[in-house]
Amino acid sequence: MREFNLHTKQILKNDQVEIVSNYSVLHFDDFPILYIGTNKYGNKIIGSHLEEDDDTKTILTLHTILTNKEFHQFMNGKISYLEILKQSSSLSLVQKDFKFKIQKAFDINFNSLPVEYLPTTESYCPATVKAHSLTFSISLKGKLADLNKAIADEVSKIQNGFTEFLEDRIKSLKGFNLVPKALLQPYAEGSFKINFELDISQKDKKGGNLFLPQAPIDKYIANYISYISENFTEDKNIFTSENNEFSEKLKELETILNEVYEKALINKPENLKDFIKADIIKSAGKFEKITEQIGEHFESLSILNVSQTDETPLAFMDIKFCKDFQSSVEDIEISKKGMTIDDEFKECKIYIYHLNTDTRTGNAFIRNIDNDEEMSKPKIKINGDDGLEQTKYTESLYLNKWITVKAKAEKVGEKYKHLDIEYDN
Amino acid sequence: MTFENIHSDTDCDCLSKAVIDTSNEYVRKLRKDKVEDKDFLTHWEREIRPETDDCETICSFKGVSINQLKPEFENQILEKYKTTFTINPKKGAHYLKFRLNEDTGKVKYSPEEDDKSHYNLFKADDFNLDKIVIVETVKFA
Repeated sequence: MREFNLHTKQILKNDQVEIVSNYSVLHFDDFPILYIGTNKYGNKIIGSHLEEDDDTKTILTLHTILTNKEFHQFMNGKISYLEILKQSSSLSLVQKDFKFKIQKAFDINFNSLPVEYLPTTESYCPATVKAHSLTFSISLKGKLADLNKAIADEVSKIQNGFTEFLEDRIKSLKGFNLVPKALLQPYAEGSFKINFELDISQKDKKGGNLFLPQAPIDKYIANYISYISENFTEDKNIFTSENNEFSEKLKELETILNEVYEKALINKPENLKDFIKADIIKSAGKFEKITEQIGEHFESLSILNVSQTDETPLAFMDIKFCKDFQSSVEDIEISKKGMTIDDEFKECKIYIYHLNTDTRTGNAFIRNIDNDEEMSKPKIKINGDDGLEQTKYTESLYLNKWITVKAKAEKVGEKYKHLDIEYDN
Repeated sequence: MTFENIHSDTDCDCLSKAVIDTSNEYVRKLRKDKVEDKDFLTHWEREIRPETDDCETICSFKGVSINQLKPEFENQILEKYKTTFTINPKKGAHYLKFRLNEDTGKVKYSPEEDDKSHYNLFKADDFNLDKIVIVETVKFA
């Protein structure tokens, strides 16, 4: 243990590095080798066992405070423990007694760790046996959410988007005759948490399918959410073409879906690959609704699968993720439905809900042509040089009015993507 | 065979359901490339104490963690060792394959969700490395 030169390190307050709640061992081998938890300030901490010293009766461990993104990436096998240590500026050596009680904590940097103790490049989160459930939690972080508050309208859109996403996945299981009901549970802090429970009942009340409880529907939904958030954008090309060469992660999801059908003894769709591709494209639209809420009043959103003992992170969405996701959904829509651009300016009714009067760009609501109950949220650009203040273009913002404008529309299918508006006052 | 060390400092009956097993092969990870006395020291002998005082945990601290080598679990055992190595290579890259004698001690099946072949070895009071039958040392990483 001498190689750590503890006497030269700066001492930290124990409460910064001490895990006081949500303790969970990710790998055990004589000692908790890798574990996670939170300190009293709610920061996520990952810890690992370094060494024991029988002379001084002390155990040396390494504790690192994680960002929400790092936590999610690590738990989902996106980054290794080594990468976390390399990029972290909050590493600490934690000295414990032989009853695992913290004695002292020291601030260190990655380069001062003895090489022989460094994790290897393969130090990804161990594949533990995960207990799945149909209980989910959506946690908002940053800005207003950190004050344990949220905008009612945004919460309502997230609730609706996620509820529809969950219920549609169950309804789309052909031959199961299931009635899903997503139940809301009381909100919780942290920073702002929305809790859901998915209740599934069978349409046939007389006994129903006896084998249904064996079907891993919970595992399927959890993996589905994880796939959509982690792999969908990088797999975009699979969905924009007739290509049925599935990525490893998509194959994994297909295997679980296959298992759902086989364990329930229900005939699966003729072409499971086509089914899963179509279903993911459909569900991406629901997910997009959730991504549209991120950025203004909270910075990120995590979806967690909640079991009796712990919470498994399934998805992490920040502003960058949302942009990539929305652009992938748009690319897929263009590949399926094609893009059209109007040749001439046409009259249409819009509601401008965001406008930068300097750049003359913003966003508006417009009813879709095929279904006027659904609205598009195209980007807009207003031509001309005259000032926009106190014109009809700001009436939606200040007078809550729908306005009539002349615009050339860029559309994907029947959905408006961009409006090039002719200035006319 | 006496087990004074196992019975001392506790009211827990760690030897309940523990048996003598001279037929099966077991494995234990080593710190270095050769087995040393220290590899078979229990947490309790090293004066490491659990945070909780339930008998299952206390008995696990009084036993040596070993795995029974059965073909269906060989991969799971190896994965456990390799995972430890990736997180902390200093914990060793070798394991010992061995058998027990009549007078080595008793083993108790103590499976975990992700460690199905896990046993606790409760050493007899006069245990030393000569009491085990060494089959081979294997380098796994």
